[in-house]
Amino acid sequence: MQILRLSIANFKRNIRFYLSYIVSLSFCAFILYDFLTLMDSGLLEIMGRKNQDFSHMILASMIVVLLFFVFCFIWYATNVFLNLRKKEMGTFIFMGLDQKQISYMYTREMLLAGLSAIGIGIVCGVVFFKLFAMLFFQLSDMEAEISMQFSVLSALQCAAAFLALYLILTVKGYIVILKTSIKDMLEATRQSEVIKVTGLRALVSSLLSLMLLSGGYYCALQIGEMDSFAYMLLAVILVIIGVYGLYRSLLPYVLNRLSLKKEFLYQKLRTLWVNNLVFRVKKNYRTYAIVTIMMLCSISALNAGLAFKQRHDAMAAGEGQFSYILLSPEKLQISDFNKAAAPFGAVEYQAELQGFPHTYQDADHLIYTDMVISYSNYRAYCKRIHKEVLAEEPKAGNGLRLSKKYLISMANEGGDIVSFPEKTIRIQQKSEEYYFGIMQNNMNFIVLNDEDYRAVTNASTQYMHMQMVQLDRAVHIQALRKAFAPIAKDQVSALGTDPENDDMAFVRVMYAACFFMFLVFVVSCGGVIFMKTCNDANDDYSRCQILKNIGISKRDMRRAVHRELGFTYIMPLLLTAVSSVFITHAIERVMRTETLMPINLLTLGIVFLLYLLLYLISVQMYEKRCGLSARKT
Amino acid sequence: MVTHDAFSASYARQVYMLKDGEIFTTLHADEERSVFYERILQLLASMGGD
Repeated sequence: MQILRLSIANFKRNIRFYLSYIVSLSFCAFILYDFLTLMDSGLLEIMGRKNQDFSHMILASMIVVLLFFVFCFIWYATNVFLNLRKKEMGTFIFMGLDQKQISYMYTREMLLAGLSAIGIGIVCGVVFFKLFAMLFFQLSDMEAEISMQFSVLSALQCAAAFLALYLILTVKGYIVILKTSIKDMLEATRQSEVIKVTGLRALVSSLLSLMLLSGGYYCALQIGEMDSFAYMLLAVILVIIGVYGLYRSLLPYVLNRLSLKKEFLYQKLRTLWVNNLVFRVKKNYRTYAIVTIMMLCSISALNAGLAFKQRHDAMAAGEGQFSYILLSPEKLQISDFNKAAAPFGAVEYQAELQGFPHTYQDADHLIYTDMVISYSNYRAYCKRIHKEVLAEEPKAGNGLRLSKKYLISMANEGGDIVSFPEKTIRIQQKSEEYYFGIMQNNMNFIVLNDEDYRAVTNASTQYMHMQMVQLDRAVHIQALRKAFAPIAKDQVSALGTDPENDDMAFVRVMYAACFFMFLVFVVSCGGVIFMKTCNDANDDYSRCQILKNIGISKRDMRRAVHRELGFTYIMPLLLTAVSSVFITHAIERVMRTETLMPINLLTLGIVFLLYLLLYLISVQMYEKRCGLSARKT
Repeated sequence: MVTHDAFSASYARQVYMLKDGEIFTTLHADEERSVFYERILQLLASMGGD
């Protein structure tokens, strides 16, 4: 009982210290609970069966990633706490407690922190579920009636998953304490404080890491199409190794070199913090590297998710360009069809197009069936649908190709040669812009100049007549088909989009899920840096005392602390920002979009604000811990 | 061309029918387009999908 009371007292005393840990973990629990509830609530049913299955799969895989991440996070945090408390534990031993009792106390303490994190997380999850779901559906562009929900099953699942992870790691901590010798405990916080980073070896490894990082960026710049896998893989590997190297050798090396220059060191209080920073970076390089890489991963995932969503939206918009399209082998009596469609809405505009599907083989013996149309027909058609033509009339022997957008395609694009029995056409310009609505999803359109078009057609050409119609309101294609049935006589086909049959809607869910995962990663990365600074503040207490004793004013020391801490927050952020620019550029190239960079900058801005907040809290905490706060002076 | 529309498909020389991600059957157009169209429609009806 005594020990339980001791652990509660310890927990209360260290609550400040545990705070970032509890906040990060409860945020993870909050997101986990809400993901589970979302899957359980049946809200996703509005997407239709197939999409619902896919969405569940996406959410389930996100949950696995989240749990793995939580495992690593708790592992890391327990290690930090253990190191921090070892000295205290050594003191306890002198006070008569044995190692078993200390382990027991420590385990209790960790469990207390963990349980409060789970509790807070689930309570927040329940309270904010409606907000979460509204945000989720807003991000996915879906509409649903969302009510307050509480799912006991999800809460239990969430708590069980967290507790399981906790128990594993607490047992690990328990064993570690049992096995640590008393001498180690007492000396845990005392370390060698001189780190040599200026030798030839350091120079070589610094240059090497710089080269690797630049190599990674270079590879990212080389990524062009969806098939440039080698570059993607190389870019990822090189950037990861480069980031590690940067923190391990390059930064300490550069800072140390600078600190050896008296003109640099003896200005602006740098004597007080530059050397300390070198020591910190060198000691904590793994943490900084992991934080940077994790932030990069989450930003890339967010950008990729956004790119997929944009592409899906563009595809859906292209498909729904027209209310319906009529296809017929003969010229259509359009007035009959307009009369039949009258109850479905008034015609806003309609345009006719005539072409013929042409089947040919390319150099790789792949068979294509593309729609061939003449330029004059295409130009007149564009005028009717109020769109600019893609290009001027192609010269003889040349053509334009309008193809569909793919969500993702690993195949090579078709060749640039379209062969006809009479002649061969070279594609001079390609575009994925939608001109022909859902027909363009069905097949590529080849636009030839009028002379070439006449040359490749003959008496036996089987033409297809298309009539694109835009009504003033949304139309139900099944009902429309029924209305057309008496006049269509089997030879006319009506094409339209079926909004209930959007088989790619799960892409939107992917984006929303990516967004929340991004939040979890950023909050936790912030938490990790915060914990590190807490740890360092503890180490720095004696240094501050010495500095105070040799007569350095608190004001100067505070300013030095601000710079040092500012640097620890800015470093990962800056590296993430620079790398994310390259990554975003690569994603833009692969996904053929140009709209990601502004959103990436916005994201970085949000991360910056969050870290600024954390920095301010850290500074407060550091000053208090090292006896530098203004109030005491 | 990749399509759900039997009419568009009837303009092709060869049609590969997909079902559950696998090629279900192959049709060759040896007759007139309108007859081939009928054949595709019949096959679609027997496959029980669109």
